[in-house]
Amino acid sequence: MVNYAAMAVLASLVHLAMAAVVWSTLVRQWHRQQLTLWVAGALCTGFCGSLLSLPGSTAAWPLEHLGFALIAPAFALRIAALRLDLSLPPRGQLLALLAVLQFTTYLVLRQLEQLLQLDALPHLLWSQLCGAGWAYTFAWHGAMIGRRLQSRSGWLLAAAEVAFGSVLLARAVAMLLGWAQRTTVSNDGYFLLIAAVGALSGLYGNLGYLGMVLDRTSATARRARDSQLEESLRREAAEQRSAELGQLLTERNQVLHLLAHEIRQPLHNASGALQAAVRELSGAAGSTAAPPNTAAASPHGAQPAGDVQLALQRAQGVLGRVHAVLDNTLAAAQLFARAAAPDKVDTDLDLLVHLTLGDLTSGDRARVQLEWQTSMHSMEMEPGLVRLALRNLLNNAFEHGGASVKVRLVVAEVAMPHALVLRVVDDGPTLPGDAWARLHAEAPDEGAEAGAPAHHAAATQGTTAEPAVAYAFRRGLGVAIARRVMGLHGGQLEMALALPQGVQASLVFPLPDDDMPR
Amino acid sequence: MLPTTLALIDDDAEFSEYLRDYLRAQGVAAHWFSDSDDLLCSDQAFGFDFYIVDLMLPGVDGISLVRLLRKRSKAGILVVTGKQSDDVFGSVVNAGADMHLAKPATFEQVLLAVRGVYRRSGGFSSTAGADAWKLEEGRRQLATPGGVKVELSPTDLAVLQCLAESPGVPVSRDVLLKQLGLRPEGDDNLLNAAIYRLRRRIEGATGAHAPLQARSRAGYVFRAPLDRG
Repeated sequence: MVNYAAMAVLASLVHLAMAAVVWSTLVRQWHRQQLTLWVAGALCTGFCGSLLSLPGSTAAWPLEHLGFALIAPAFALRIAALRLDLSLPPRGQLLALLAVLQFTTYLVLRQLEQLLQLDALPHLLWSQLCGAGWAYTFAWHGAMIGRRLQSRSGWLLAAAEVAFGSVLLARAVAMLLGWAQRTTVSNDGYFLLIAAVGALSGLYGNLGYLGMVLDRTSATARRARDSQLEESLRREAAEQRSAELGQLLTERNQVLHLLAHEIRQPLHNASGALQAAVRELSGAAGSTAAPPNTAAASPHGAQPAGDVQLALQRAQGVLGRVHAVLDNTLAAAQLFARAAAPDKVDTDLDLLVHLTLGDLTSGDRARVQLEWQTSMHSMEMEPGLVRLALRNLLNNAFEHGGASVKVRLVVAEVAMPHALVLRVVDDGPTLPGDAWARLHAEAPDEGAEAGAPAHHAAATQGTTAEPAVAYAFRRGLGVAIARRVMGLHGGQLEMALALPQGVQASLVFPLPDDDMPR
Repeated sequence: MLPTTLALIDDDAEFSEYLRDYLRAQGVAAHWFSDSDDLLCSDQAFGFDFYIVDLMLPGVDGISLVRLLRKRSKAGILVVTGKQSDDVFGSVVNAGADMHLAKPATFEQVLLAVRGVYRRSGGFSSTAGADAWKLEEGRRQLATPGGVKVELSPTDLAVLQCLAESPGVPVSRDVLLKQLGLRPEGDDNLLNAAIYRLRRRIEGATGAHAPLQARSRAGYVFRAPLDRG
């Protein structure tokens, strides 16, 4: 003989066991709120089934009432969990109201049954119809999960609940028609069907929820993996591009260095040959040859040997200009992309100044008045770079000032702030406004940290997107190079009007403050 | 003040011959070597008062040659080269050269550089003695070879004591910072200030260039012989 009540209890235990499985499996993988609601609902289902199926529970009213009271929360809590999973408002108040309404009606019906000496049909019918309604609502949410999230587990959950709701509905109709016993637990096929479908619903419903959550977590993990893979591919492509650009830059620099050497060497030889020729001629002409500087001023009055000497000196001047242009062009290509800080060594200032003057033609050199306003003999700097900057300022002074310009080169130590200054002052005409504005226009390397490539600074300024080299060529290469050199040295290039006329350009090297601890 | 003997190591015959003749005309016994191996195999490879070196040389390359010369000689070394890149100057200086000139350079510029470097380094003999500077620790004074006394602060004295322990070899900034009780990170400016003041003190008293030289990213070296007493 089959004990139907025991089967119903076993079906309820399936719900309880599955609630424990769902909790232990998902507790670290899913949102705590949804999981708690679901597991609480599943536990309510299990307890509800157990209480209503216990032998003799009909006589134990409080237990039976509790069993009926748990029907609504059993579904409502899990519906709320699914709504949260669907990112819908859980509607907790409405669900609670429905649950209270259902239980209150149940109590009223029980009272009426007692008062009117009726059988249990009213409250059983009400409870089963309500249970079916809850099951279909629950199934509808499961179907929404299946449709929206493309989850087969959602559809499984919906199917299990539709089946459960249907058997509840079928038993209610059968009771109404008198085909089924009108008791909570009965020994007929309808109750057996409810117990069996309830067990299946407990099993597949919870498995469905478990599957749905695992589908979603695995989809999230897959998306994260895909995103990581995509990011990794992007990074790899960027690194490859960067490596290619780096390689191109290296090759460009190698070609530049090769060209530099290939051009410098013949220039060097030509310069040597010219100097030797001048020396030979000086020896041959003796005192009849005009001194270089005066020859430059009055070439027509010179002797034939002096003419040749003058021509050679002019050729030397041309070589010097080619050298200066070459240096500036190479500097523009290298200096503005330079990331390394300068290699500072203590530099003999007197030697630096005279080497720079040696870069000028003898005629220009004679027009430079050198003034020392400091007892300093040395300063830490990269001498090649500073010589390049100073030479550019001197050449600019001669170009701007014209043939009769006089240039002062002042080496001074100034206070407030304490600094060494290499100042080039000319007495040329006052610059027109637009040329002056051009000199003061913000350069791409201004504001850049020493050692930072200028094009990086340009990129961060937004409005100054022009590449530094192009900027330099447009604004005046000499000034741009001097500004960049000073930026690398942590100093600055200062441009100002000279009085009564002319321009003064200063390379300012900061010195340690006198008030620093001794 | 020019060196008595000078070795010119450059594979460019045309310019080197002109330069050698020019230097000889200035009273310098200049010898030209077209190959670094020729110099190194010569009798007085390390006996010259001064060296002018090109970087791109047959045989031992220029940087290695400078490094070898610096290990064996305290003579002045000037590098004159057409090779140019960001790191050339740093490599040359760290190898031990005193100065770097980019080609093309005129004879006068080379002579200026030789004179300047020799005044700072080659003018001092390689052994301590009459030409040596003397650090009188008890009196906290530095005596120049000419007998001029430079008063030193305690910081100056600590720096010079540290440099005197490593004659001819750069002392790193970290070692100097430690000697002065400063932190390796954050006190760089204080060391810069200390070196600046010491240099100014020496230059102010002697009217000449201080032989306290910075070596890029390597530290500082007292380029002249320095006795402690």
